[in-house]
Amino acid sequence: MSWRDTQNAFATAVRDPAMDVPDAVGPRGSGVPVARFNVYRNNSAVSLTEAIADSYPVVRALVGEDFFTAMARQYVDGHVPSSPVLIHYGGSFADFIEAFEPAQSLPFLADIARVEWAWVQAYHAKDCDSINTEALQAANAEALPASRLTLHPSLHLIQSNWPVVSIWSAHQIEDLEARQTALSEIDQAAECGVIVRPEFEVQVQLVQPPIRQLLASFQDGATLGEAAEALEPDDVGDFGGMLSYIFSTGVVTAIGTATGAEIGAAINQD
Amino acid sequence: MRPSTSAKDAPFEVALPRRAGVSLKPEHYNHILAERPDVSWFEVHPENYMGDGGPPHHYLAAIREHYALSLHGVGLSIGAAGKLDRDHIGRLKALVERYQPAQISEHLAWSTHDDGFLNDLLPLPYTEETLTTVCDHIDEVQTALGRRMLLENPATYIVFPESTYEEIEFLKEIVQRTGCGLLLDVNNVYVSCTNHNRSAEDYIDRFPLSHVGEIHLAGHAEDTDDTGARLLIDSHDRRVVDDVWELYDRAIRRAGALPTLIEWDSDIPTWPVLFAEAQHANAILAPNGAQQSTKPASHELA
Repeated sequence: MSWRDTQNAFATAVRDPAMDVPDAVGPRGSGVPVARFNVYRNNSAVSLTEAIADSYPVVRALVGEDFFTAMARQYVDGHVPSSPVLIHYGGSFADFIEAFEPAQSLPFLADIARVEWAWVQAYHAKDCDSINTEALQAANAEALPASRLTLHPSLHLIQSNWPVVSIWSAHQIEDLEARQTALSEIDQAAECGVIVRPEFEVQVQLVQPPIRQLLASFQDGATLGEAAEALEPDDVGDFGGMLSYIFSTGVVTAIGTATGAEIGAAINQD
Repeated sequence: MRPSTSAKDAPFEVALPRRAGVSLKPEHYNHILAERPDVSWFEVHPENYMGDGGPPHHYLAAIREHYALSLHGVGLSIGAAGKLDRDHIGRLKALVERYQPAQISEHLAWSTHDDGFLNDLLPLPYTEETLTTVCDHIDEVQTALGRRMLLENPATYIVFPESTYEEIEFLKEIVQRTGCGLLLDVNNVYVSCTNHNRSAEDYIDRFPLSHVGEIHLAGHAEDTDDTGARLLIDSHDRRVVDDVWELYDRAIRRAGALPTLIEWDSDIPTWPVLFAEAQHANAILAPNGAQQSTKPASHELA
């Protein structure tokens, strides 16, 4: 048997505890050492389950240790990491939770997982300096409508039918009694969130829906003018205020200077 | 960049300080930066620093300013039958260039299969075929990184009856063919020898210590197998046991002082517990030619 074939059989048996121990292993002349082979099965499954647990502490707190371990183990059984860099392992856990029958009584759980995944990715994202509201004030007002914003590499947007930003934030309170109080005061409303790490700490902020909408437009490459136009009519009036807020959160790293032709086109549109 | 034949026969040139180092864990970042404890070097798994940015890089860069560094990989899958992951080698090379570690090392094991990464150090049979595979992979890594690496003896729970080499002979052959050095994990020796009913003292006595560039010490868990036989599991989650300290002392008395890592990867202890383990290793290294501390005596044990 080639090493490749032996390795295939070994890997398959590590992944599937119901399988027999592969023929290629075992001390000479003795029986099949299932407990010994199980060390490898256990190391692999448990360490990957722990990797998921490390990335999703609030989901874990919400469902409890036993439920979480069973759920994460089932996820791990169906999702082998594609790379040894486990920082990026578990990105489909939210989708898995959404379809996980025993978790249906917590319909917000998948969106909590999305917040946590965004947090981990923001934590490890490329470092980049932000520009502040002064940069906005200093920008050529005439050129602004045709300008594009470069957003921070750590930025993630959250849109949920559930108050997931509030639930996540409450779980950052270490005192359990205070956490319980905070949780009991949350309105059962839809929420939008901005997750970004302008400097050292990941910020998770509850924002009004048009703020998220603007940032989503900027992410798609819209100019300031195009992003303003896409807003609901009621929201347009506060565009300047919202833009200032966006700059104050550190999510903008550059204002792309519009060319003369772009400025002209933007003015003609108006 | 393949090392010349003469370099392959030469003893490994030790690059890390010949004193104790410890695993660098996020739990201890702030303490280390604030107190600059008297350990000589730190070791990390490069895979934990393969994100694009953020606090892990900030801390590693800050700590690297004051301490020597070792990168100890768990993701190259040197022993796998398939090709090495070029992307992963590229990520490792970027870290090596950024942090200029004194030493890099990997395991005589595999962790990646066609389906993906299993996150455990899995064993291989020791045959002509696997010897060629492992040596080709080490050549590829050393060429890509432009430097020699260390290969660590594994902790194993099963053996392959098809093996035609003993582990030590297999390792010696790898050193001869690739010019790499060895990382002697004394706890792995104890775990494997206990599990396979062999003499750990004999293993240590026969190990080619002149090719060793680093030693690992760690704790292990005790279990039993289906037949009630002792089954030790390499867990890196507790103190080093007395038997392993004795084996370590045996190796150091023969080899002289070597860079020694206290490896602790889960159930991370408070800093004083980890530091005391490092001091224990330093006490064994001291009469055997350890480098003197370059730092003022610290108050860590208080």
